[in-house]
Amino acid sequence: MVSSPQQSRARLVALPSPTLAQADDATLARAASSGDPRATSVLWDRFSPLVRRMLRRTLGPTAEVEALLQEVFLRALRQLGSLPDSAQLKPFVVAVTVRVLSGELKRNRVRRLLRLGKQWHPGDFGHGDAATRTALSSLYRILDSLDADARLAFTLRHFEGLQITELASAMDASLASAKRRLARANARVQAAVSRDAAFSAYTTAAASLGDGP
Amino acid sequence: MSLGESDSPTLADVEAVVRENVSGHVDGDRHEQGKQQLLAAIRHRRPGVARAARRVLLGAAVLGALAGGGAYVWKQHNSVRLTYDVAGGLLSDSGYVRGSGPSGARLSFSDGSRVDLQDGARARIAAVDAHGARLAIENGHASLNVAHLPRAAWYVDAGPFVIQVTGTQFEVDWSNYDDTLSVDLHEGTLLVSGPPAPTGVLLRAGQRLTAHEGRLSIEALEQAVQVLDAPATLPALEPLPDLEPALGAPAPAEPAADDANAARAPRPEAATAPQRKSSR
Repeated sequence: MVSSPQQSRARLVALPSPTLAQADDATLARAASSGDPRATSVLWDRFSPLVRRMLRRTLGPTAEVEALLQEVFLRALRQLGSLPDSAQLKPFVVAVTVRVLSGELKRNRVRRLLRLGKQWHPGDFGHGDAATRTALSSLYRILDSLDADARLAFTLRHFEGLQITELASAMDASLASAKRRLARANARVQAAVSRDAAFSAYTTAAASLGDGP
Repeated sequence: MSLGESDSPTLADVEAVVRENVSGHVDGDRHEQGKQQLLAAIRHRRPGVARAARRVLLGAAVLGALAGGGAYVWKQHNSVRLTYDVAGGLLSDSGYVRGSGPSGARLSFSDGSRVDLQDGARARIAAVDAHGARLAIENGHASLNVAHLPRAAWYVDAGPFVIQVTGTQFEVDWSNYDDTLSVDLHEGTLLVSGPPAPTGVLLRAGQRLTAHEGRLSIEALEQAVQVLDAPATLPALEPLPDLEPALGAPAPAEPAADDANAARAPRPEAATAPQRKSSR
């Protein structure tokens, strides 16, 4: 049942279940932190769609997403050993993703200050009709104007549906700070999309089509 | 998608457009490819070592940056052009100098070198760099005291002649009226080139070089020693590195291909080899 190197054999035979895919978070975390490639594989299958989605929705469809996805998993695997048994894996992976995103958003802000930032075009958003792609490019231009914390608060709340307590935990911030960041971001985005002609045209067109394109 | 009640976009519209159009889904091949990439990264990375290696690399990068910065500062320091001022004379923007009084003009350079132009002498500072200068004597008498410094590179142009200097004391007299050059060397060595000696003549301390009407003679400051009638095959001048283009001054003679080695290392004995002794 175990064909991995001898070094990890003793730990592997101690696993309560031979099927890691069904293992609970604590078991999976222990196995992954011990270097079991099967556990890493299960972690990837279980969480990579979530992490990729968070990266894409927060950053937009950039070429860095796949590299950052790898970075999230490498960091998570490195830190799994210190995870308490009672901890759940999903909030842990989300928190690691948020830290990676925070760093990337700050770097992107510096790039934009140096005029090296990405310029969004409708063609960057490969799916959907032209109006949707134009609206998305407008939206990510608006998100680019937010600072890293406000943008993260906004995307985690509105795109990932995190509750404000989950949001605060993932951002390692107090509840009050999380609320302030979210309020700031909401106000900025609301004002900007209301002024944005492309986004307004998109919503008008979608409304006239009933349930949208 | 769900829209707000009015046509004005709402945050619900923003949520919807992203949630409906940006997902984390990829096809199976890409999913598997990412997994294999992660497993390969873990296999090739020993925990702890990678972090230590990163620290070492960071330290090396910091040291490298410091060393690079130091080298840059050192280079900047060493590439600062010499500065100079003129006493007793007039200096135009183009580098033209002439004495304004009977005592002539004195050029003092920041490396300690000095050039004294006698009354009536005219010269032009054709170029200056970190290691020397190129001075064109247009007419008259000049006394030079060039600081003997490593990599010092000074040139004096006098009519069609070029004098290569590396730390020495000498006097140059050039008459553009009858095209006569006279060089009295008090200390060090000089390499003088011109039409009678295209590849250069080495002049030693205590010697006088005179060139007139295609004839070039070298004699002791008190007594004639040698006369040169014909062009000599002597060490060629080395080009002055990194100097700005001379302003109207003739360039040093290019060494012939056969003289390439001589150009790198002037041979003192070469000055006498092709020469004919004179009883003068």
